[in-house]
Amino acid sequence: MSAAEAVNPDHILKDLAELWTSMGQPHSDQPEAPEAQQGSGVLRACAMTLIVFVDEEDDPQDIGQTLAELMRTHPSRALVVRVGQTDGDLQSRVFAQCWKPHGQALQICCEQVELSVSLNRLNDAASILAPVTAPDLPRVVWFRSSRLAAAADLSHLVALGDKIIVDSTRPGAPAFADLRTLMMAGCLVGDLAWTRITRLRELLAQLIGRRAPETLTRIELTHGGSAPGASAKYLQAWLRRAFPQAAVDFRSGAGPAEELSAIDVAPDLKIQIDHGCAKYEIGTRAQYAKISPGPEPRLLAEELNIIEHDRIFESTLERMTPWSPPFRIPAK
Amino acid sequence: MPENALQDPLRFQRTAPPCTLVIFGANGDLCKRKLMPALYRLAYDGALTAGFAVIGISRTKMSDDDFRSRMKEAVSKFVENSPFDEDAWRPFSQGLFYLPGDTNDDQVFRDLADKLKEVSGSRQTGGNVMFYLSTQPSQYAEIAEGIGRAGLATGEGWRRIVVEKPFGHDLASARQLSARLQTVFAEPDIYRIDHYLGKETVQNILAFRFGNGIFEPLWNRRFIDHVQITAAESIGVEGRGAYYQEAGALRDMVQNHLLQVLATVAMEPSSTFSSEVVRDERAKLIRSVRVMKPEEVAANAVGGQYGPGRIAGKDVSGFRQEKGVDPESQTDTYAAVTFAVENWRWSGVPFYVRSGKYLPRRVTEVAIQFRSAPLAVFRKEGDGDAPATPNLLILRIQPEEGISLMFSSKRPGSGMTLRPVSMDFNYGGSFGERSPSAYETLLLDALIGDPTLFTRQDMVEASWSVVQPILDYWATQKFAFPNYAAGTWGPAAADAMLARRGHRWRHA
Repeated sequence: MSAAEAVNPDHILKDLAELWTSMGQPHSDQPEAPEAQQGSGVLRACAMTLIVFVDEEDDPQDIGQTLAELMRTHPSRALVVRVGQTDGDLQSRVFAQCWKPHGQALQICCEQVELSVSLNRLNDAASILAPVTAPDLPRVVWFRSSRLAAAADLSHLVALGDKIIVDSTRPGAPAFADLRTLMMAGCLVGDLAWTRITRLRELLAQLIGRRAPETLTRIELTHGGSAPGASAKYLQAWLRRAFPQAAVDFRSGAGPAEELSAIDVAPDLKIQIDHGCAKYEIGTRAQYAKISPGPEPRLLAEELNIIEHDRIFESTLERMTPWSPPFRIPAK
Repeated sequence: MPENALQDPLRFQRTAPPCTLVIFGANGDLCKRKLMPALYRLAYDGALTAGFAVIGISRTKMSDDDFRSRMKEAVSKFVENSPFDEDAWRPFSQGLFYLPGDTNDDQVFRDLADKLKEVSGSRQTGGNVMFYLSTQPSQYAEIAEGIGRAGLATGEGWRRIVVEKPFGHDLASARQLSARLQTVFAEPDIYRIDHYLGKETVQNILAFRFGNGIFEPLWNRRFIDHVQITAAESIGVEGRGAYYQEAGALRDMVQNHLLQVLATVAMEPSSTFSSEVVRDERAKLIRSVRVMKPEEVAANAVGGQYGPGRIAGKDVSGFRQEKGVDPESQTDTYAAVTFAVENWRWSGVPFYVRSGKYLPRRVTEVAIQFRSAPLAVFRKEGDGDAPATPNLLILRIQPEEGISLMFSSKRPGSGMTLRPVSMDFNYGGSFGERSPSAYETLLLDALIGDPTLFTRQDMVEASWSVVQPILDYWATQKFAFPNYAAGTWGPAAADAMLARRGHRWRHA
């Protein structure tokens, strides 16, 4: 681990090089390690650059844990930007996250750069991050910080990534219209609010996907609270896209606020959703299916698997909001 | 079947449609060790629909609950790289049913018809049925014909049949088996499993070759000197002496698994990745393998049989001392063959293929040796006429699946001294995800109806045509077996076979 006082890309890259040199040295407490093992115990793994914007006060362990879990399937150079409210100097540090696959001697390590920046110096951060991304590999930007909602212009940050990931269920997330704007500008977009319903969509595809369209006339989505959440809105738009002749409407009912608690497909299918489990009947037998979206790292992993245009998501997003001219996020 | 309006292939995992899987030989080892753990894992991963059902058939009398209990015990013991999850088992086990019966008696097929009707109604499988023959190979044709007589090979929904290798014990019996299966099922509905093709790393050979632009231009006789395909086992026949005595290494490994691996390494790029196109290319390659004349066999094929030896500090007995084995047995527990692929790409490039039991370690790999640099410019005085170290590409299938490229690098320090170094890609290290077992892959493919990784009749016949002259020649010989000690790399004659072309085995 090292700290750099003057933050600039060259220093960060130098720190990274020194980090790997030091990790390649035999440990001083193992002076008699066999020659074959010396310096060969660490594998540097990197398949992409993942730039994560988090709030300064977010639990570092929480984000660290997420990145540690992600690196097993998506080893990356992680650039974590902690966005603070108050003015201050930019600060950075570099370190490595490692894990050892079961039964293997080799440790697999990914590098991580942490940068602290105030909201009004986001553009400075972008100018530092751009040269630090791993060359020739995909770059993904994950906007996890709620503070970014107050930023005047995110265009420099958006330009850092080939794909932008947001979570519309989090406070301060961009509006659907903003996402659509990004998409129209050719940017790859992912929304964890959409990722959360993959298992539920999969179940619906199994149960009603092959039905003749004329037999589907009405689908009712029941949600808790007074208004449906982002995931429920995505589901509605996706069903409308697939079955344009059917009325797909919301109904307020029991269950946690904004979350779906039941899906009624007239005339014969009723799915009840409770704690990530769907209950429905086939014939006379009750069936259960796990539709729990899983923790944040699993959602991220699904999005990181897709570094290409996701036509189904994009056409669903198109249906959710009329197109509006760019206002906050200019086209790339 | 209509298109699924809600399909999302980018995100949804491949899921088997509702169906009933009928397993003949459900109380056998294959079902317990491989099939049921693979099905459980597929269910655990959500790849089986809720209505999926299994009907197990064997002679042992037991109830549905007994069957479930036995299968639970087997799955918790044999599931690979995965813990047993009671919550996942419970709903899956509700779809397990059992039917006792003797397949020599047509009554079992009539009972099966009733059971299928009942299960299809309660589980809403849409009448889809896949029959899996996990029995003695000698029963394959009779069971298929029993299915046909009971009218179960057709009906509402699709019907498929899966058969395990060996597909015959020679060319004539393979043809006969295919002919009998085809009186009941159409060829596209016959799925012949060669579990080697289901291995992730064998599939990765295709990805490596055809997903990257830099290797394919080198993948031919101009740049490749020779290819070695090794499937070495560090164990003996493990109580299967009686069975193995009838098979031997050439039949058990080379005729099917290793020729399929050879085809995967050497086939032409397919124009698409659709199943028939890929299988056409594989079949075409196997048909390009030179069929030896009797007088060519001795120089190009070496049989071996292990004798007593010492492995890991323990004495092990020879094959002829194994239980159920003839003390004068002429069975090959080792086979090494030099194959020639007669097409423009590979003409003149030997493909050395070997497989054996009780070799020093378990390893399955493909080693591609490139031609040396035309001029050894870094040669020093005293090096003699030794050519530059050739580049070697190793495709490791098991264990430690991955790919290594050996090349020369300058040793640090003054002077120009070269040393071979290895650039390694480790499959497990780069993808932390659990790899599905070969049976998970193949069962799901068969349930979905994707035959890409299954062996077609013409491929089976072509590969038997290739090994038949060797079998015929060996049948006329009396070998001085045993000719290698357990725990060594096989008979000296196999080394000599390569030495005649100026080559040597890796790991020799």
